[in-house]
Amino acid sequence: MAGKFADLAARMDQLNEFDREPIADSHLQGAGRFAGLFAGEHVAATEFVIGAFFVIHGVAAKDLIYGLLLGNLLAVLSWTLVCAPIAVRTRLTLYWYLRKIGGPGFMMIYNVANAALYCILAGAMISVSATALADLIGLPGTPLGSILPTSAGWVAIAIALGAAFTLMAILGFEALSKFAGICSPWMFAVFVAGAIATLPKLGVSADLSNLWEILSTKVWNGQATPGQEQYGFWQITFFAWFCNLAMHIGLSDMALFRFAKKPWYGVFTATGVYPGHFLAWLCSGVMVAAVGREMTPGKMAYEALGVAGVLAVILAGWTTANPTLYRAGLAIQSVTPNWPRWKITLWCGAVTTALACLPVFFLKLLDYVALYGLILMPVGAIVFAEHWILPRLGVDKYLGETRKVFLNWRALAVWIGTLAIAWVLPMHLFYRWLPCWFIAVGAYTLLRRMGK
Amino acid sequence: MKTAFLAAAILCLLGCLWSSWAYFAGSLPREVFLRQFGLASVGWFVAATWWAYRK
Repeated sequence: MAGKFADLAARMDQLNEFDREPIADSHLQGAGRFAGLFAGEHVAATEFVIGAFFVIHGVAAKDLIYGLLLGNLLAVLSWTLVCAPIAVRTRLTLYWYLRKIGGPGFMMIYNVANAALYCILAGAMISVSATALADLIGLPGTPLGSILPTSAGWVAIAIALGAAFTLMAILGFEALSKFAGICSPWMFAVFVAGAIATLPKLGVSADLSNLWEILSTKVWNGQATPGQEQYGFWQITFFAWFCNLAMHIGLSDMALFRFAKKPWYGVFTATGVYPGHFLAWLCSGVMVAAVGREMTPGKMAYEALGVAGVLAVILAGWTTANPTLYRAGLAIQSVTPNWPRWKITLWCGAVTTALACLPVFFLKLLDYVALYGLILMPVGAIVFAEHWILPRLGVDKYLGETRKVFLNWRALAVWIGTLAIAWVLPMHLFYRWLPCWFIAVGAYTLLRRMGK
Repeated sequence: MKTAFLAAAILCLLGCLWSSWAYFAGSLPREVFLRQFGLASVGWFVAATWWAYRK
């Protein structure tokens, strides 16, 4: 058994061999490159759903605007002050840094958890695309509380789209990624143009004199749709902060920032989050208000921009699902001995497609995004403690590397224990990650100190 | 040549935004707006794809 695990660990290392060494100085990238890199990010299919949900959850206009401004600022600061400094100092991906800390066994568990979460996210994206096609051919909309599919037609569309997306991911991920990059600016234009074209339907006059009045009474009027929880300023602030939690506090974006010349390049994430997680969310909110707060991204886009809008929703789903399927495949590759790349992608695609048939994942997207970040957050906290706190306490770093441990049980215990505490913590789901991050940092420091 | 395609792509994108603003301002009927938006979108994909994939 131990031999088998060692074999898997060796295979996993081989997959990531290219990234094993810290980035050389000659490969570092300047500020301009980072500004461009993030500019195209964060405009995806999820934006059609998230912005619309804020309207359905009855956020008031001022709460939304101030909440998003503050929440996105906190997210940018998290990238700049937490993620980028560790990446710049180590010049390693999270994979290799975590391997030094937790050992290959810990990495395997992290990879499998990551793959499962990626598959659910990709499934939700396929569901969003399915709503566009379902609406175009006249299938009834999916009610907000749905868990299971409401018609056989919906299942057929989800399976057809899932199969198509999987096939494309198998045939050529890299060429398609390049095309996805081309789609990104156009999709942003779709959000903005869709919202502008919707304004007359809401009653906004051409001189914009009643714009604020319409927005605060017909769009974000502070009244939740019956059966939906009321959101306010703090929920919005925390949502904008944690919706990329796995990337900044969870440190996944070490993979990007290890190329940065300076840690302050983290501020360039603002070029992505403010257009995507501010403007695009506001635009989708305007569009959903014009269709009677019905959660059907396809209908929202069709009413605003016709067939081009439907195409945008399908493309947005695909461009998000494609890299997500790829990442899931890459993560799961480490525990599937001798499987070729196409076979892994096929299996991930099959699981993702099955999940896409369940509308619950996109109808509960806000909660899922919160859980996604929460589950991976303790790993970032462990790395933070190991990097910044343990050296100051004189505790040995990198058990996985120096003592060749297969699995750092303290790290695993902190991960599981933190999630258990998060489960029972008596506060809103959106807020739980913050105290849990401090708990994880404190618990890991304590356990390592005791084992000194 | 690459620069020309990039310029064309950006112009198409601006065309998408302009048509929606013109529709909002009441100077374009809905059918014309949707047609213009669709054509500008096709223009964007053709020009931007050419620009991105050309060596």
